[in-house]
Amino acid sequence: MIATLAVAQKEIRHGLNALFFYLIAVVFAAAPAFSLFWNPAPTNVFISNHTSLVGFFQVLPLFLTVFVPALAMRAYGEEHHAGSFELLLTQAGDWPIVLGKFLGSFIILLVGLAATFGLPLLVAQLGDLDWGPVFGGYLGAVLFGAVCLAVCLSAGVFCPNQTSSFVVSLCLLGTLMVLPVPALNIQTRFQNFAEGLVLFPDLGFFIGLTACFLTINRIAIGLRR
Amino acid sequence: MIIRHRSIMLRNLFGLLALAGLAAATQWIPLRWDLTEEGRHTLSDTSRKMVARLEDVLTIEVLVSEAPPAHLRPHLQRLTTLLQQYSQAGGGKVDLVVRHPANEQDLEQELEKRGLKRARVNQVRDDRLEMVELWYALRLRYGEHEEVFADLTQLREPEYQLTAAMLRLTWDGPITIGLVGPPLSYGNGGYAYTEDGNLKTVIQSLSETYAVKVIPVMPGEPLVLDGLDAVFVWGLDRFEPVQHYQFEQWLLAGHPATLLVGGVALDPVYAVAESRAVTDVDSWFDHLGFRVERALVADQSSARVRYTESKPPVLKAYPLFPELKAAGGGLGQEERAHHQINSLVVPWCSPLTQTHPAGVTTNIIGQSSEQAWLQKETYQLDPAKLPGPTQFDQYAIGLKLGGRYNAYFPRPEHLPAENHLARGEHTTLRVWSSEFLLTSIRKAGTLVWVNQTADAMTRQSLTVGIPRRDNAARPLKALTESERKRTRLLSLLAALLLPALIGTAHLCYRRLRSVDPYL
Repeated sequence: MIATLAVAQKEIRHGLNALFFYLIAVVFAAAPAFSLFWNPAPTNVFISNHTSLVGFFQVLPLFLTVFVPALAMRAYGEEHHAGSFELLLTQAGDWPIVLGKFLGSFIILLVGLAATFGLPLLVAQLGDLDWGPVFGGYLGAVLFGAVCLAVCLSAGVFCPNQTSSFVVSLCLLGTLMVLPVPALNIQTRFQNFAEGLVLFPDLGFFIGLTACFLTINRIAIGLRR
Repeated sequence: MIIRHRSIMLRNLFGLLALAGLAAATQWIPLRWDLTEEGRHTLSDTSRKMVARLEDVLTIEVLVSEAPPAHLRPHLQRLTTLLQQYSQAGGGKVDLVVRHPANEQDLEQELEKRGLKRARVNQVRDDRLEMVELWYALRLRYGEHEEVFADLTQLREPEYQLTAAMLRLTWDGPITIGLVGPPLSYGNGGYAYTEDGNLKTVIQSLSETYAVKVIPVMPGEPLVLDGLDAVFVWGLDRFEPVQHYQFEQWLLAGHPATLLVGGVALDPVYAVAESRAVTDVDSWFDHLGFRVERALVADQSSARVRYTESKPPVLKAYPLFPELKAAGGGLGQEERAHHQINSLVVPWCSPLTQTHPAGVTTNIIGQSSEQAWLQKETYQLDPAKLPGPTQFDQYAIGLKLGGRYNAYFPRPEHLPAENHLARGEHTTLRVWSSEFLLTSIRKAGTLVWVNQTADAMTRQSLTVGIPRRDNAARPLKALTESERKRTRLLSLLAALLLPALIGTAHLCYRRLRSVDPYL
């Protein structure tokens, strides 16, 4: 547990020390704002004339599939680059490394999501907003982000540098987004949350998928020893 | 080393399989949480009660192609979830079947014989937009009757439309329409709005489909609307406070009504007109979403409609009633009550203004031509002496309002508190600014309008309490351009705020703790 927290703390510290994190956090928060208030399309609340965040939650998975790989590519990429991965393997067990990296990146992801929370507050000022779908959407986004993160971290172990980690993660997430089988498609699953409907099968799917990819991550680390 | 790796692999592969198994097992656990305020994703009590009352087996057949396009999958999934709720609520009485007609030749032929065709749907394939034909339909079968939805993409309000269809399949009881209002007295001592008087034509026509009940609103008498499915109401300004309360409570229970309200009190026999006094009922109208202006709409583009009384003194023909024409956009075509009505003459009407209360949707369903003008006090009903138009404009004469209202009238002390509704179910109101639509049947179109309005209202009332998307879409409040600009700028500032705050906090923390920034 202590090792997990230490790895997570290091991950957060590295994240917060990097200007890159602030840049992508601002882009991640500003892009939905643009979609919601500036873009001349039906996702714009001034065009739809409804106090609804459906437009925001339609584009959020797309932003997450770019934001999360950008966030996660550093987790192992930086270790490979600095040559500290072997050192890390000697100081912590497989699960503490996997869970620590996941926890640290997940907290940064939560900060990124929290940065967008001004948008529903602004929409609520414009009329009577139904907060149920908003909370559902954010819950879905957290679970969706967790899956993305687990996928990206698993990909990161196998990739020698950050760029390849980013590209491979993007491809994997893209595949999960367009899978023709609805039961396995993460975007289809996410849309229920965005509509304010939380289904236990969807919760099980996201949590199970995250756990599966974390296990793959652990296997990959075990094989690197 | 190799043995150790193999053991790790095996152990974790088992773990992986167990996790995948657990995740798969959750797919059969039907727990769900509907977070929307109106419970949009949960089958309403109305639908539950409806399927619980089924005496025979209702078969719901989802007729879909095996691989629908990606953009339809979420829609199909939500629909299937809804249908599963019907199935659960109905116990063994609702049989849900998913069939692929393309794989069942007999079924496909049977459907085609019944005139059911594949739906045409746009699909993006290889970066090209193309139209594909596929099965995306639903069939409800109950005994020998069936209802079909040929294209599920057109199912905008799934629960509402499905329950309404089920009701049509199972309904066999009479539907009662109420005609509610005071018997207005005319200058010649006679009364209008009586069963044997000038309501006779309307009652005769409505009775072909409905049970009709006239409820005269008399001073000092309670308003009893029990057993009515929908009402036409007039003379609301003459209701007593208790009667207002009783009528409003009936509306809040989700019953539909058509309100006939005029801004000008008229005695057509003596050609006398005067503005109605502003009373508490006008504030209630504001609360409901409209205001009745104190003026008469005259429209010179209309056909000349004779308006004469058989009894002396005889009124001269009045040529200026607005005649709303479907072709000219005067009758909202999206309104079910206007289906196949070409024109509607609205005698002695006033302009209606929308007040846009929060959470209420308002649509204009009837309006004059652009050549209409207003007659203001002092009203001149004699066409020979009319001053003529001063300014042409188009005026709203009919409105449709929908939403969940809060109670406006306070509960009278002598009425029981336990039945009091502070907030209502979804209510649909149609408002027409003429009190003469039921009594001055000057053209066949008026009778068709009365019947179709009753039809539209009762189908509505049968599905009271079902949350609908038109209610879920909450409008923005009115904003000026500068307010919009400010919101846009604030949205960008909000995006910057949290990262900036965290960065600053992190910098301060590092300085306080003297942490090496390169660590």
